[in-house]
Amino acid sequence: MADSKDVDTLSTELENRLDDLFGENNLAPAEATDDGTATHYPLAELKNLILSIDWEITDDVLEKFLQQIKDLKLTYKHDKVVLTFLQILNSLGDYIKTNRAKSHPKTFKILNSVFSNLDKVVLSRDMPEAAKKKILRIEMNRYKKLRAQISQGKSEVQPKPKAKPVAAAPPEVATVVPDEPLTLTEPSVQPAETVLSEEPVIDPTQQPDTVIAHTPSVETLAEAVAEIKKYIHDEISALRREIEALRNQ
Amino acid sequence: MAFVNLKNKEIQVKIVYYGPGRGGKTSNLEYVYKKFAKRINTEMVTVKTHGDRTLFFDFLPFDIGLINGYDVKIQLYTVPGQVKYNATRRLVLRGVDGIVFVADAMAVRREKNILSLKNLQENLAVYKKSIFRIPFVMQYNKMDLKEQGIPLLPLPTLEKDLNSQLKIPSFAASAVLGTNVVATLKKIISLTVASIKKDLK
Repeated sequence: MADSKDVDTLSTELENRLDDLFGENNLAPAEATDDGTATHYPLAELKNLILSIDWEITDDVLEKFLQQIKDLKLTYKHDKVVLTFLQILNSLGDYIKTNRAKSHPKTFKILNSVFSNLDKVVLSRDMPEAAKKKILRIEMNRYKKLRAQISQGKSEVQPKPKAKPVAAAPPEVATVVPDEPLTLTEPSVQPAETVLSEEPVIDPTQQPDTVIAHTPSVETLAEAVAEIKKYIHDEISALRREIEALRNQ
Repeated sequence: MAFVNLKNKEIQVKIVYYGPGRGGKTSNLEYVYKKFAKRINTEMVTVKTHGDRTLFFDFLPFDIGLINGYDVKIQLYTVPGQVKYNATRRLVLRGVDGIVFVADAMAVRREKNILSLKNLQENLAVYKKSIFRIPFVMQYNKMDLKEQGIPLLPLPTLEKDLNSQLKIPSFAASAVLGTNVVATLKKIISLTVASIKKDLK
């Protein structure tokens, strides 16, 4: 190599060798990437956005993600299973949008897992409905488990959780942020900053009335009512003082 | 400098595919591997995360046979594109002989491409290598997305952003479809082998 051979000779020899190796002649048919499915793959953009979220969480990506889900919901409005998958992704997207990097670490794993199975369901047109529901049930359970873990995290962080007047809403969950204790002591006037879902996810594999929402206990409800009463009482007292002050002017 | 074994008359050439995350570096190697597996008779090593991202690197070695009496072995590597894995990128660049920069032609990735190219320059500097002197090929990937209505950067813009100073060979490509994947590979191998020969003189 180090002798006085001309560079052109080397180049020619190399070019010929590379042509032999990478020429298009006598090649086996190209593999899956060339079959055209990519062009018509309905979840392509969603997949791209999920991978983008995995890489970096930005407003732009999350907005596109939620918009994409909205579009797909219209496309699949007659497919309950797909719709539920999309609803779970929607909820996870909302949760990530609110909590960003503070989201529960398992959220991203579940996001990928839900998408992966949605992908399977959408692409396997011959899959029986029962099989689809079975897959959905697995993802639904993972999602529920995550919600429970987030709720649990909240209760661990708040030593004496105050009952909140939102019992019927999806569970409020707090992210464990030891260096930001102030966010944990804010009263319920804060908008649902750590809520996973704006609307309940309906599992078509179950009875409609057995879905996710955590049913509050009687004690919790009683505490919530007592707290509401206190808020109203305090507010009315404050108003009376205001009116009294105005009369005295 | 490539690993050269004068006794066995063997040269190992290390080529690294560099670029921003999700730009298509792994897809380039996968295309080569899937399409030419029988000819190059090798295995591709890849380590991915659950989200299909390159965690450490991909590695595709193959032998191109005797050139000027030397057995030339090519080693293709990719680096993880995610910003947080810079130490891995730097490590993979150690002993690099040639580079393919896989830029993402999507309009939204414009800044990421530029940052990644700057990052490459910095990481090469660690090994006292100049981005202007190393065998280098530019690839503008994801050209196929235009048909799906996804906004792409025009080629002149990509050239201006990334290649106005370097002035290196560049290819508009689609790694998933295979467009110009081989052309890019052939060009970087040619440039790198020629450079090694020059250094050996």
